Amino acid sequence: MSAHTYRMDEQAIIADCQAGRMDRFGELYDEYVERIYAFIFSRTRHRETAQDLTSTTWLKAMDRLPSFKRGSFQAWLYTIARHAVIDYYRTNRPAEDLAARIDLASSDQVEHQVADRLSLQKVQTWLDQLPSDRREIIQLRLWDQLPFREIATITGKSEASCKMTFSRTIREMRGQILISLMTGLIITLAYVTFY
Amino acid sequence: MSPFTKQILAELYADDPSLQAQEAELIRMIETVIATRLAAQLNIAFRHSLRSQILRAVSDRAEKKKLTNVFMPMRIWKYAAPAAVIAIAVLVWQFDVIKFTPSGPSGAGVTISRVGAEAFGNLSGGERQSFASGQSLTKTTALVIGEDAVASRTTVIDPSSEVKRYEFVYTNVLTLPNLPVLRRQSNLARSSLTSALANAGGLNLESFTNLQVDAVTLTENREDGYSLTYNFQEGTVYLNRQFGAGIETSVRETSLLAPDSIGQIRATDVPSDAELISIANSFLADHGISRKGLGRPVVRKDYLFNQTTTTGEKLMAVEDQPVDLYYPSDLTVVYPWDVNGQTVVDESGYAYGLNVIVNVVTNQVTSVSNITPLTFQSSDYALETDSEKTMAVVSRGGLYNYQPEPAEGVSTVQITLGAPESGYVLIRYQLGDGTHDYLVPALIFPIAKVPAGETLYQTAVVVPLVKELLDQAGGLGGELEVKPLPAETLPSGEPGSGDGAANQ
Repeated sequence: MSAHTYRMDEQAIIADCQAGRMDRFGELYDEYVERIYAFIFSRTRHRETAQDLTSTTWLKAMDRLPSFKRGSFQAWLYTIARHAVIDYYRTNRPAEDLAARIDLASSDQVEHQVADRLSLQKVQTWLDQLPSDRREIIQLRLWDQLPFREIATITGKSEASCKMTFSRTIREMRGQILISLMTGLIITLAYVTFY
Repeated sequence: MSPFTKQILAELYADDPSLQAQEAELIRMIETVIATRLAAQLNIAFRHSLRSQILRAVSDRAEKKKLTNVFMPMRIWKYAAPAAVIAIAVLVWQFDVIKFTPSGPSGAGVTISRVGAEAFGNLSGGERQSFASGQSLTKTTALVIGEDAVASRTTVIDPSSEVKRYEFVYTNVLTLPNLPVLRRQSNLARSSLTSALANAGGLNLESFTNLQVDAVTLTENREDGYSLTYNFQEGTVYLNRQFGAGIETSVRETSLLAPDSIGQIRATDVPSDAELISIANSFLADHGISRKGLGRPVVRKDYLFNQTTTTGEKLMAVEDQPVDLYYPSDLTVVYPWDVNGQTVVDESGYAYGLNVIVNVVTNQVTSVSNITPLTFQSSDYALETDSEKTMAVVSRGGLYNYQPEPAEGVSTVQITLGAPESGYVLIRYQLGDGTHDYLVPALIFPIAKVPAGETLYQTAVVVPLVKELLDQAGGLGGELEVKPLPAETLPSGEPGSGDGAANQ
């Protein structure tokens, strides 16, 4: 109930902004800026680029807020962020797949144990090999933890289609990853034994 | 296993129950995918810098809008001055600048004209938007529990996450009021102003179809002066301070940029409610903004909702470490509308009326919004007379609130309500021809007692009493079923339909 009611207040802030009290836009910024930055950073893996695209997203959101009518503000904002990322790759890296930039070896992540790193790499490889539309739904649900209703809005697909794609992809993944993980465990055991 | 992973599993099992046999494997796989996301730490300096950039852009845009609202589109600079003189004369004639002194049968400051019964049509139908929730009243209204689960009445929620059932308790006998529904009239006539501009610039405005003035902005020609925007579509006036180069940089940065983000404002910096109200009162008096038809001012405190429990204890940022309370640089003093002797609230129970924003650093008014003549039409509608039906809505906390059914894993939190006041709830409809504000008779129950440690994001329970709205609530809000296993499917809804995303 609390989150529901909070969102009601959010809509009041939006209504105020649309009525001319744009000073309240800062409250929307405070609420969402971390999440939007995390969304963009996880897809660009480059701090300065993520900052640039976060700026672009918020300035566009400010410009477009008067035309926001109803529905989920969060989904609307993520849609703008997603377009900013897509535009960036169209303009700057036309030949490079977005997910291909992920490089765990040089990432900012906390160092993982060997077995975990191997698992991560296997899963990352599997993610990279997915068709982009399926990968995006997996990422929006598991990385960004967005509900399917909002994922549907962001990707322009139906909610039922998003759910089905997610479920089917996870089922397929289970079979493929299992073998990889087992292999990883064997390598880990060998690593521990010999080093 | 995290609640989110549990939620994902529940969704997967709903689609394919046989997957439960591989649960351990699925958990590891899901959590590994989640772990592939790169951790992102937003640089605090960047966060502040972007915030200030956006606020500057907001200010710049307001400045630009002032220039473009009337004169720029028509490129009539050299003809603008005489047109402006005429325009201001018309404005002064129409509004006595901003001193509204309407008179009418319902008391000082408020004018109400009576029309036939149910003259405003079906209040529960059509494409409409509630003011507070902004949600269209379709039967796909959803509940968010925590950050993960989304459910509708027919959806089953993962019960392993913390699910609370809030039961709003009021035990005394209800007295249901009998009041008409009111519709605010946006009667800032603009035809005269359009005519006043008709010949300016040599353009033949008659050659355009149904040309009308949507908004006019008047700006003080001085450093840090105020601008007044007359919004003819909504029938309101908005007053806003324009910060320019003349203001001390340190003051501007302190008041506009930094404190919101880094919490430089401490409790001791925030003026008392009485001081804030005194500042607002003085400003209104200095500028001839009438307080007729407005009730006792209150200072909004909803910025504390995410920081304290309802009983006032600080929430914990991390274990055993309470949050540092954040105070916004601007606080709002609300002068609630007092119509027919009834107070007016929005659907969350906040006082609704004239808003005066006071900067707590400079102790100056930065804006005043919702300045409008209180002119309404009044129409009788069938009100609910069944106390039991009304109490059913009260017990779940409002017309569109969901509450889970009592079930294993669902804890019940009892909220005690105080004696209700009758009043009006503002419901805003977004229709094709603009915004329509309706004041609907309502009972407003104050929250009297909340168990220690609970945070409730509402200060009152508001129940509109128009029968058709309550009848419609049978298909909205209500109870949620909670079961150990998820239902087969979620309702499909209408993803993206009408969403803002479609506007891009």
